Amino acid sequence: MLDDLGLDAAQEDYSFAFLDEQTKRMVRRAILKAVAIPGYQVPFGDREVPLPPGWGTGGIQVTASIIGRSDRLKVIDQGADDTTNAVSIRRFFKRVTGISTTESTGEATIIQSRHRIPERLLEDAQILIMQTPQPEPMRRLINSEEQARKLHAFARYGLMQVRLYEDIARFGHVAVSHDYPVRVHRRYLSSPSPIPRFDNPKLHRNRALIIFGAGRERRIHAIPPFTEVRSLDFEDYPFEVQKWEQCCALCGSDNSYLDEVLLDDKGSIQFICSDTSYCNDRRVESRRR
Amino acid sequence: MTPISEEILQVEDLNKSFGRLAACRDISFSLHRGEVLGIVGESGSGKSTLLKCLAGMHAPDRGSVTISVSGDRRSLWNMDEAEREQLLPSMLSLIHQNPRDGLRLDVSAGGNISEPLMTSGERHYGSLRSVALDWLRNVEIDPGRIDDLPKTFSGGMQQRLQIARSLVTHPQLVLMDEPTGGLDVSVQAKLLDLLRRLVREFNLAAVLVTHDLGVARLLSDRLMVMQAGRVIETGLTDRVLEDPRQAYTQLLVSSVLQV
Repeated sequence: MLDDLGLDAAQEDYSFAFLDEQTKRMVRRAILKAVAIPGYQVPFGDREVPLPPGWGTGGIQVTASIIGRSDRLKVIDQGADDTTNAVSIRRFFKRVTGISTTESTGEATIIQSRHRIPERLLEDAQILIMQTPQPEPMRRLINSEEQARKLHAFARYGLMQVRLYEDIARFGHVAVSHDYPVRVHRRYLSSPSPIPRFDNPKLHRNRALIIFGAGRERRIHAIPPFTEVRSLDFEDYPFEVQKWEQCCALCGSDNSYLDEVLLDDKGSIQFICSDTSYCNDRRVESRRR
Repeated sequence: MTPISEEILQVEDLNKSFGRLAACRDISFSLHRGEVLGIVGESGSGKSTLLKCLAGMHAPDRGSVTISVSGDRRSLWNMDEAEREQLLPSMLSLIHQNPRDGLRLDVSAGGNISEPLMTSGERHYGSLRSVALDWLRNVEIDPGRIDDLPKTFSGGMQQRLQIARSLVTHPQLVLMDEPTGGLDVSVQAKLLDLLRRLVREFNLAAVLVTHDLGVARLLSDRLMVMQAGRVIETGLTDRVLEDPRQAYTQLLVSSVLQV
C-alpha cells in the first residue's frame, strides 16, 4: 500500500500514523469538542487516506490521530477480524506506526470497528472507534443540512418519531434493524452508525469512550464513558433487540448476535456468532474446562 | 361570539419591504378569541407577506406582533429564534393554500396528524392513533384511510387533512392562506362548512387571507381590504361588502360575477 505512495519503511520522513502532525491536531480538537458535547456532530477537515471513501476513512483518521506507541489495535469488519477491510486497515497501521495489533477484544486498547460493538464488555482504558457512513440520523427524512442543524439546535425530533410511527402502522413493530437512532445524554439525536439494533443497549453507560468518524461527511461525534444513551421508542411499543431461536453452532452462545451462514449448494444453514473474537474466546475456554 | 373576549393577536405598525418594494406598510389591527378576520385584496397587495410575518416566517422590518399564549402576551419577533420555534406550535398554526406545503406526502395520514403531537413530546402510540382517528372523523375523512398516503387523496381531502394536522395541537390562532384555492366549487362549499364549524367549535381566532369575496363573506366577521401594502378599508364584513367606501373596494365588490 505504501509502495504505491512512494513511501516505505526505510524512509524516515513520513509522519507517525500516516497523517501529518497538523492534521492530527485538528482531528484531536474535533474529538475533544465531540466528547465535550455528547452526540453533537463536529465538523472536521477530511484528509485523503489510502482507502476509498465509504470503507472507513473517517475511522482511520480518528485512529491515526489518537494512536500512540503503547497502543494495541484491533480492527473489526462485520464483527470479524479476518475480513478484507479489517486485515488491510490493521496492516496499514502496523506499517505506519509499528505498534502491535491483536484480534482479542480484551487485549486491545483501541478498537476500530464497523457494523458491530464487541460482545465482550469494554473496559475503562479502551477506546472504540466506529466508521460511520452517515452521521445525520434525519438525513433520509430531510435533505437540507441547514434544516437538520436547526432541528438539532432546537432539539425538535418529532420527525424521527414519525418514522417509527409509520413502521408500527405498517408492520406492527419498528422495522429499523440497523442504525437505530438514539438520544445521547437526553439531548442530541444521533446515529449509532450501522450497528444492529442488538448493539444499541451496549452504548448505554458504556465504560469505554466511543468515537464515531464519518470521512465522506466530514463529521465526528462521540459518546463519552457512562453517558446515558436511549433508543427512541413509544411508551406502548418499547425498544427491543433482535432475538434468535438458535444458539451459535460453534461456541453455543445463546446471547450473542448471530450471523446466518450458508454452508453448501443444498441450502443448509448454520448460525454462528458474528463477533469472531468472542466466539474464539468461548471455545478456548470450554476446551480448557 | 362572546361580547367581551380575550385579545389573541395584536399587530402594531407592521412594515416589511423587499429591497425597494414595500410589501406591508403601517399595518395595525387586533383580533379577539372566536373572531375571524378576513384580509382581501388583489394579488401583490401584501396579504401573504403579512400572513408570513404573523406566522413567524418573515421578520418584519418594523412594528410588533403580539400573540397571547394562555393568557401570557408574547411578542413574536422580540424573542430569540429558539424560543420562537419552541412556542410557535402552541401559539398558532398556518394552513397553506397548497396542501402539499403543509403535509408530508410520503407519510401516512395518521402520521401527518400525529407529527405535531410527537414534536411536542407525545410518546404513546395508542393515544396518538386514537387522536388521529378522531381528527379524521372530525374533518370528514373515512377513518379507514388512516394508513394511506396523502398523495392518494383527492385535493379536497388533502386540504381537510392539512386542517386536521394544523388544529390537532389546539392552537388559539389559525392563519389561513387561501384555504379553498384550487378546489372546485362543490368541494369548496363543503370545506367552508367544515371550517366554519371548526372555528365555532374550538372558539378559534383566525386570520383568513383570500381573494375570493364569497369565501370572506361566509367565514369572516370583519374584513380588511389591502391595496399596495396598505390597509385601505376595514369594518364588519357585511358593512364592507354592502357599503364599500373606498373606490378600490367598490371596484373589488363590483367585479364579483353575479350568477
